[in-house]
Amino acid sequence: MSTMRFTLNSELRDVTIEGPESLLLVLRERCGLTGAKPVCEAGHCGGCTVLVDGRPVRSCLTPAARIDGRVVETVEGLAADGPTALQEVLVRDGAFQCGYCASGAVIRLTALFREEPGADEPRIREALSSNLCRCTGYEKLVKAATRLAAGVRPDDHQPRAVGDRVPQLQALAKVTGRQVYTGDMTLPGMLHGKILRAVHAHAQIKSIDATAARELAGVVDVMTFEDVPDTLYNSAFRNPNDSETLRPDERVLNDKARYEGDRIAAVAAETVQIAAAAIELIDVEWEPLPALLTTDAALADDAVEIHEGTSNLAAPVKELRYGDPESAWADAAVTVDATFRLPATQHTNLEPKAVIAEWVQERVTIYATTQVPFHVRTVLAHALGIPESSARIIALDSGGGQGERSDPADEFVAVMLARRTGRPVKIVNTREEQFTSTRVRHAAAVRSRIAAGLDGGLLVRETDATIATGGYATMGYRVMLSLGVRSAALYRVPNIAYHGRVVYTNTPVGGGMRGFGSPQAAFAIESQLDELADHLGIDPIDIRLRNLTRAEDPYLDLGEQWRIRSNKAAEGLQIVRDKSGWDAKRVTLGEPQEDGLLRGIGAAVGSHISTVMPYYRDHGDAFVQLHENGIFVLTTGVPDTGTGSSTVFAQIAAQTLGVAADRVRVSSGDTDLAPYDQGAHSSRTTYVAGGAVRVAAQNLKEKLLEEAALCLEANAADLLLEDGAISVQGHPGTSVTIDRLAHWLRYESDHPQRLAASGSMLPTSVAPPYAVCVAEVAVDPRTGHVAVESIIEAIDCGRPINPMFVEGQLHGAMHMGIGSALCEELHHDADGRLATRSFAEYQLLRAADMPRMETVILDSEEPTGPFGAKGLGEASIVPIAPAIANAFAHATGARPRELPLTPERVLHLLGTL
Amino acid sequence: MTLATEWWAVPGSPEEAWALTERSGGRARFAAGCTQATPRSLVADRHVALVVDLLTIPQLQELRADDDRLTVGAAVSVRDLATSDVVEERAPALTACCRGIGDEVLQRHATIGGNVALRGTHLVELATVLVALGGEVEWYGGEGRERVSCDVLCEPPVKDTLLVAFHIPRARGPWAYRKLIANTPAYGLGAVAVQNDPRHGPRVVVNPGSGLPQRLGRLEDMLAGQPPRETLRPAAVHELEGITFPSDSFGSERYRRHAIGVLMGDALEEVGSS
Repeated sequence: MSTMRFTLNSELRDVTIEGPESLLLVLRERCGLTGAKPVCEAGHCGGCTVLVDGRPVRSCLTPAARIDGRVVETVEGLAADGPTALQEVLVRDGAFQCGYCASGAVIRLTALFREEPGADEPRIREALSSNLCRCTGYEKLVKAATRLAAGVRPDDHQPRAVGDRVPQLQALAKVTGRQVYTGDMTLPGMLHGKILRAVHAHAQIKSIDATAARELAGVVDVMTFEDVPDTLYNSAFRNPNDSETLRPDERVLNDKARYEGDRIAAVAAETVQIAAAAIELIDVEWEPLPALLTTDAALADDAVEIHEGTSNLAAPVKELRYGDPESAWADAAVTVDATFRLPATQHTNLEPKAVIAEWVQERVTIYATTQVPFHVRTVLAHALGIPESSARIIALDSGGGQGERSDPADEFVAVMLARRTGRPVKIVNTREEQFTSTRVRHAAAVRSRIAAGLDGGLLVRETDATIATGGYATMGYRVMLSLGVRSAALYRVPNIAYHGRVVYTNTPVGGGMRGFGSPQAAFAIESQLDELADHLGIDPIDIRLRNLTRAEDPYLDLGEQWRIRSNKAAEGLQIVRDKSGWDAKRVTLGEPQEDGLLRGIGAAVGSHISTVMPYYRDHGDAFVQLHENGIFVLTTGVPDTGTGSSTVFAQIAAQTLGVAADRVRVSSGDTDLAPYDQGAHSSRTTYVAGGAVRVAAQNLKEKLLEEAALCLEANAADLLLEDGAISVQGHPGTSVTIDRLAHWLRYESDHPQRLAASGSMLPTSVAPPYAVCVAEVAVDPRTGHVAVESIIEAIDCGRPINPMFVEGQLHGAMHMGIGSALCEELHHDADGRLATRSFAEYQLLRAADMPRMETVILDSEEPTGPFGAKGLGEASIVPIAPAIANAFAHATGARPRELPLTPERVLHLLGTL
Repeated sequence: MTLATEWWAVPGSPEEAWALTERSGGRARFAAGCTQATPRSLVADRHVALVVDLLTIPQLQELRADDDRLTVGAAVSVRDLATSDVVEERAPALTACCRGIGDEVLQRHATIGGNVALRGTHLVELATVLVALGGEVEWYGGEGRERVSCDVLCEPPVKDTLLVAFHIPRARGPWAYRKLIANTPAYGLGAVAVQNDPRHGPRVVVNPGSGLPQRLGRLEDMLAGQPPRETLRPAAVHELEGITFPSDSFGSERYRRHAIGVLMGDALEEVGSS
């Protein structure tokens, strides 16, 4: 051990270092500063950027020994005397969402502005290309920084409640490095866990010997698959009726490798480094089996069983039929028929999954990066054979969700290690583990056949979808079902047949991912609408307008109750048509350009849901109380994954209760404190959970008015609640503020009490949001490179509770959607070993890669949603990649059947290769 | 400014660095930019007992321009090269190449020596340009100091050597540098570099994606003869037929051959018509 001395945020520090460890580790583990984030620890992402002698460096690449005598500034230090002007503008303008990248980006911009105070937008984009972000598309970050550099002053508008651009409640904590994520936490006596993951995609374990690992100094426990319950569980299990479709097929640790990264054994040790070293000492003798990497291979007659004793179909085959599809083909004027393929992709949330488990008196508390705390509790109880009452799940605000965290994966390993050792255990994934061992979007092959009449009206659609669920079934059935029904509800198609299969493969496990089947379906149907239009000589937007569902249409065959109540997709198409200059560009583009590039413009429409009803039961509760200090405290079971959901809840409650949002505190994601809620998934947060908040706040408002009537000696029916006070209508001088009423209730009334109310929402509509997109692309026919030059998206999300967040969701959707269209793809070698194991191989767009982006929030109101709102997070991604594919087809005349459009695929499409 | 410990050595010269590794019984590692040998990987490698910090050696940090030569220490950062006026004036292809590596902050960490040392294992760009520029590479090894032609960079690294400096002649004449990228610029699949120096003759170099540059002698000869522009592209395609291109999930051999052929044609036309 050696001691180095350096200046850290203006303070001289002596710190002991124990080896060639990084500055990042020293800052986080020795100095207690967790603002710099361990996103990749390989220098690819910028999440750990700090200033050394005034220059930005990646602290993960900086050996701590080189810091002796130097001056280090972290994001925490920037705000020592209050937030900087940069931090303030980033908060106000909603620059970040999950915030896990915020510290690095703030440091990067700080360094830039110290050198170039007047940096313009291109320069800011270039500088920010050192930092990856998954949520925001960089747009608000770049624009906010640009405005600051240009000296643009903010307006004086003070956002209050629904419809306002209220900054995230946690925004200041995020830009100052003080937001605590699960991996930032430390508990007294805590051990560190690591998981031994399979190195083969498919292999039997002939023997396992952990003797050497157990003998390593600092190792406290080693457990293998032989030490965990035999119970098979399905991580997506939520409801009793799930058992028919969600096959239980995995254990806490598995006795066979069904994909590279499968959990085999685990270690708890005094440090992460010791745990990692111990993992290396576990000797496993493998017997490799054929790796089935595609659904075709897994369904071959001679394919080995990935789960012994069962076929490689991971769920029941789903058949859906509406109308009379067999007869309808006879009326077709034109028919298109093709198979569309999308690969597995990754959420790439910047915060690696993390969990801490601690047992106290036969009860376990789990701090986890999960979107679904109540669901984790249910599955945990089943997997470990303990009562649900034995577990408390606390879901901290997490560094991204995107669906990755909608079922538990490694959490139960920490729970078991903690129980065996009697000490808290923390497990944090490395970035490589994030790629090999967390969930992915299901790779899909979608054969689609559609017929239309001469007028472009759709007659019949038949779809045969096969999705790869990887080594375990998890929620594959639900994704397959969603793929079949969600897109079918977008257009008026009187006759539909759907056949869906979920197939085991020896690839990373499929899970929830933004869009949940809809992006796979949309690629097929939106491509084929363009093809039909082409055959019929109809404009692609016109054929969509001809067929889109409208408000009051039925939602498939679900009957009157589930009819579509709000639908502005058609209006949205007209708007993006006008804004993009569509009609002119359909003529001028699609021809060779002077610069040798091929340019095209394409459109697509997408939809998804605001609740999983009626296919699955979906409901949520909320609880609001008035504290004696006049502050409202809202409790919800929905964790904030960075979308700003806590702020949205505060806005809904505030609007209902006649106060500003900053008067509402939100407590979320704690199963001991919060009423039941299904969590942050399925775009249900605003619509369902927000709906519960609305009801709870309304119920509390009624109680407030009753108490105010007593306080004011007035009739409750005559009272008006607004601007933080309750007054008698017609007698404005007779009023009581909320603060005063709270005080009166507690200290002066004859019935002191805490005023509180709960609310519940059981959806009565699917409330589908709609998104429409127009994209322009440029294709280099010589190299195959495709660039998206501009993109515009309009969203019908009902009434926007927070327009700033809505725009942010669209920007993030564009980032992920463009990535899906052009470059994001998980690759394997022939043996099933993942080739995309870091951000060096998995291509994530950077700030300088993003095109011109424009968003439109359509004027809409969903009558069943809180203040007219419905979901948007998933619908917004659905049309992006199809619009790009259609623009590509317009530019080149070649129709993509497979994404992403890598240069090589493009050259094949163009017939060059 | 760098802490010396029993596991972190701060030598003052290449000779001292070399001696430290000799004494370590094979358990020492050099560290410079740490973009590949990251601190995390050094900690995780239980065989590493000593890290020898090359950034403390003044000679390796040297960036100097003499009358007709640029001397670049092996530990000079890519960022310093990318932003140096003198480098841009003396070796603009080197500047262009450095600006296309990673991002600005990563460029501060990455060193020219580290990039070159990785040739043959990763797609690295700088060796390609250095071969095109000619000049010499200076290293230290079991035989002491050696200074050899940069053409040696067309071969995998010689084990047990420490890169010290690159001695680059002032570039004269037209040049071109092209990097084959995936749809996002950060990800490279190959590179070509051409320097048409009227004094020393043209140098045409391709990195087919394997990380090892290769000189294309027939194209160099052809370029020296000032051929008609329309003959350059077909000649490039023909010449590349003799090159082995790697094939992996990021790009097939066929694709790389085609796309690098396009880039090579572009580069030759640019240089040949200048």
